[in-house]
Amino acid sequence: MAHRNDTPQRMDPVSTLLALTVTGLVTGCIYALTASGLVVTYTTSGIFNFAHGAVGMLAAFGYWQLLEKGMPTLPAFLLTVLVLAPLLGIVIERVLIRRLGNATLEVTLTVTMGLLLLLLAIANTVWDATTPRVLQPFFVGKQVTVATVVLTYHQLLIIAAAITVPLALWAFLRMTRTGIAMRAVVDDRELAALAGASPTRIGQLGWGIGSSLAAVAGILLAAQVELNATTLTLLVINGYAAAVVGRLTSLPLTITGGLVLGVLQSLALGYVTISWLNQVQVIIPMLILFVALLIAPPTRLRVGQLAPLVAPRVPSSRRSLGSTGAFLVLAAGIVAIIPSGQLGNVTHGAAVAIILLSLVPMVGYGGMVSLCQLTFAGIGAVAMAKVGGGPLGLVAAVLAPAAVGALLALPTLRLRGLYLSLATLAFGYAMDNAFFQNASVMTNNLGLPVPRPLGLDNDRGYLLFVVAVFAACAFGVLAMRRSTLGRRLVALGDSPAGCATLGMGIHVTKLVVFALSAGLAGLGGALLGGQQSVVGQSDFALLLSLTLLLMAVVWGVRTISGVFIAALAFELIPQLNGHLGPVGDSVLSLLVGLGAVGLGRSQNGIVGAVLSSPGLRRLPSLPHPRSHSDDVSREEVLTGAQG
Amino acid sequence: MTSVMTAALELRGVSAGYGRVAVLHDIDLAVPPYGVLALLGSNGAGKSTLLRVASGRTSPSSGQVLLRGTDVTGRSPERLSRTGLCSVPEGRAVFPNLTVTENLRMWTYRPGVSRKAVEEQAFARFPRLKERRKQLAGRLSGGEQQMLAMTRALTAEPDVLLLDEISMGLAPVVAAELFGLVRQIADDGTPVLLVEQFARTALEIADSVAVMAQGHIRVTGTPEEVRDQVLETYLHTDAQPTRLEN
Amino acid sequence: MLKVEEVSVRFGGVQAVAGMSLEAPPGRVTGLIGPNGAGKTTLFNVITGLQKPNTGRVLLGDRDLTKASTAKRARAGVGRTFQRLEVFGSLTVYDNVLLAAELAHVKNPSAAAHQLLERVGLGGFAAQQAGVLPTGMARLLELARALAGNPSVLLLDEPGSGLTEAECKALGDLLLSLTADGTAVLLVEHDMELVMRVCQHVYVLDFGQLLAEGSPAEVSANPAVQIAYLGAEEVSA
Repeated sequence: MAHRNDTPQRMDPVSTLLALTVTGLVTGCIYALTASGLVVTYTTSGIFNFAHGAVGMLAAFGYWQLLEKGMPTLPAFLLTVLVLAPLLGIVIERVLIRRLGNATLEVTLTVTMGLLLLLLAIANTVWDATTPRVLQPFFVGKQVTVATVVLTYHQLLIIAAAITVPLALWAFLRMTRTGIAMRAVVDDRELAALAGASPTRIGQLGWGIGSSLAAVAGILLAAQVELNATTLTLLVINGYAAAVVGRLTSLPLTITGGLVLGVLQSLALGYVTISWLNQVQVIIPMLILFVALLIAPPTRLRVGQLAPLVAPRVPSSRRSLGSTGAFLVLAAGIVAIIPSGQLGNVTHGAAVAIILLSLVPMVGYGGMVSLCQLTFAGIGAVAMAKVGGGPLGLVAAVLAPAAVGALLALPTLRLRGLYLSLATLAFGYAMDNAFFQNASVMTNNLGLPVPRPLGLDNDRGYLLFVVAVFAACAFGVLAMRRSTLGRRLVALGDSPAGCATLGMGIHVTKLVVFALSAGLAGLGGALLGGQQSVVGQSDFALLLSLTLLLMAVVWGVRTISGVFIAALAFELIPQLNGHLGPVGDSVLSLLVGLGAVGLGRSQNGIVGAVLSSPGLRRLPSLPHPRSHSDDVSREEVLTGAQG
Repeated sequence: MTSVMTAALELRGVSAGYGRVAVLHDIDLAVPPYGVLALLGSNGAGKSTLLRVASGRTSPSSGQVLLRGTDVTGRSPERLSRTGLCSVPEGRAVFPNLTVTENLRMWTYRPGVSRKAVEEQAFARFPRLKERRKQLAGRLSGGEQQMLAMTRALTAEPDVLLLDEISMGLAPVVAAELFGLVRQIADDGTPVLLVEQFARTALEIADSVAVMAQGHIRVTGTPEEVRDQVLETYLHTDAQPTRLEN
Repeated sequence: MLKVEEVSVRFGGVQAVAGMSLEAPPGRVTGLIGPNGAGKTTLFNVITGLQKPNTGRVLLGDRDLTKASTAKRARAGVGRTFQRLEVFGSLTVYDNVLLAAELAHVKNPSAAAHQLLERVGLGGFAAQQAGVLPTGMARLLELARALAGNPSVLLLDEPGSGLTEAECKALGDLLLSLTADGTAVLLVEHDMELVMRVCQHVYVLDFGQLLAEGSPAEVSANPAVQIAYLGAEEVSA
């Protein structure tokens, strides 16, 4: 990120070090603030809010708007931080979060990511992204000099906020009954209710406070960096790393993590030069996140976790062979009659379908939510661009991302659930900035030319090829699901403790699936590159990865048909956007966000819900009613699937 | 209180379960305005579900819950608690990551219960809690944790007190002390519904007994009247000789 | 033979298991009973490596398993079922057992899986998704899954709860036939009728400690056991 206060050039080494450290501390203070808010919402509601940064971003824009309307600084700031932002948090809790209950991780992640895209779309619609805006720092022009370091009042304010806010939070959580009740709800939600504290209201309060903290950080950050929706939203990923240092629960550790991260980034910016890497500081959050995840004690295998819901049935080999054949015949027919002008879009969609297919084994079967699938796709495209369009290029497009996937799997083997997802996110973020924006990878700023594989220069022929590859891969994924590997993978997602007591080593399974899924995504990415003939950083941007994952989960990431329809929708909605005028941009996000809300009800996605509807399931009815048991949670889960 | 005869807590025709699975079938049970009513039954008989319904944590599929004659069916646990129903759930009913003092602070949600009063009463009754007031509750011994949980019942002066297996996993000496406390709370005028697996002890301190099996109340009566049936349910005392040939 | 030596587990201030020792020799159903919260499941978790003990050892034959991973213990011959079910809910009933047979490198896993499902009485439900089974049937499925690994020691955590009377009787027959084949069975069970029928030796656990041991008849005649189950004779108020 480009800080305005650049390092002074002509200074002695000690002063430089001091200046860099102080600048880093200031940035670290912002990370600490934003991460504290994340921790507060996570601990009180059990939901990791991916949209935390987006809330802060929206608050910064709201604050800017109030200033534009002529409101003085202080009232505008207080109104945003103490009224508007908490209100937004409370609305989010009320409309989205409360419905989630015992939802699976992939669903809760999807819902808050949908929220992220939604808020981003709102900001981009209301405040046109191409117009540059400047949010003035507080106390413009005022500064003090301590020793040799120049500190603006704005920076001092950041430091003051980073000291007072956590202290106030600490006092609130220890001294007031409501604060104590917030911690009590984390300990034992039901007991807190029995004591007379309302867990719902406390959850709401948690989201209110979290949003308020996000707003403080967002406003301070926007004046420090730039008032840009995407930048502000994504910078919070640094805050995630800080929160992971605190295991998402400890405020002191989280704040320390934020400060260390800020200082390390600043020092890296000042001292480390790696010729091929022009943005050293962007990989530091990833490094910190990985280190934090690795030195933390291993999580015990959880016993008695929630049972999964009704899963879509796996077609037999004969049936999937039949449907693959039918699909190919139908697709060939359709390909033959598509107007030439539409060939590009359809091919693009088919390639996206292959990338989405790579989510099925990973997320759909194994329950490991990868947030960096487009990163693998990008590596595939780059590999083919470097090796060439021959058969060898295609092989490279699969093997290179597969190898990277396996490498990423190695440090994350012990991780599960949210931590695994955060690790993939950090990886995607670092690759986004350090790899795809790297001149030595992408040749020049026009992008990297990618050849068509196997010399398929005819557009119609190429489309047929991509569709055939999708069909073959889909058949392969289903065959994998029916194999031992597939059973291992699903079992691992359902009950790690059950797997362990059957003698299953989980590492090999995870490694193979990471590699397989990454390889598949890479193939899709290479074919996508072939269609576009040039790829750039924006094709594999992290946000796009999230959008794709969202589409897949909303439509059904456990079924082939689900991801296929997701790919269609992904292609179609932007086409519709063109006819909808200025608000059109947000339609995709809006639909995805709404779909995400609906997930609370049908957690297999839309296609999964249709496939497992009673009319389509012909199974023997169970012989005797469930025995009487006070084993509540399991009963509730099962009924949730049927009710 | 409306009249002497009004039950402290009454379940009328309550059925409840989880989804399609019924656990309680048409339960009628009245907790008298004075004394201890012990609810006994083997594992899975539905005792815990009954307490969940009574405390508002599970909604009955049919039937009514009345607190001092007022219909409170469907009221949230926190509202019930503030109105005067005190429920100590199964297991350790304290917040392990809060200190003793902070736990006590959580017992002040009942209107009219002050922080000072709770602390004074708790520390006077259990001096050990005073010594450890800055410790996390999770670091206390099992008995101390249960005492901390019971201080809520002591200070809230509830309309009715529901206790779910408070002696679970405790040494007999500690359990006996707890039961003594329960008896005393009842003698001071708070009606108690006591769910227990230590049947014999429960019978000792109970004024009346209800025995559950398969989601029904099978027997009600005085401890003397139901004693024999209870023993049979627990240890199959009659089944031993014929079963030992294997 | 499975040996547990002086195992202790503490959770915060609560002593869940305190210096517990027991033996489960082959060809015998060994019972482990005690009131709720006595530490039975914690002990099972220690034996299978899901819970690290503060002190004590777990031995299988002359092999010390105390530091081995859960998977390693499973491969060494320790099988178990769970009180709170751990079936693979998204897999079919058949796939649950098939996977277990594959993991145990059984020669013909498919045939073995079908045979085991018949043996526990789930033959008609092979294609059913495991996650929607009623509790009792899911327990039988866990049993079949554990048996697929041909364990030398089988730990069963309340397999009888949720079963009908007839199923419970069939379960008893099955356990006795297993011991006839030389398997060591360690059984946690609340259904005293089942315990009385199949166990040759019973350990009684109370607040994490051994309260009594002996034949089922000896144990149920033991006054200390009666107190543990029924409460103290006298209450000192």
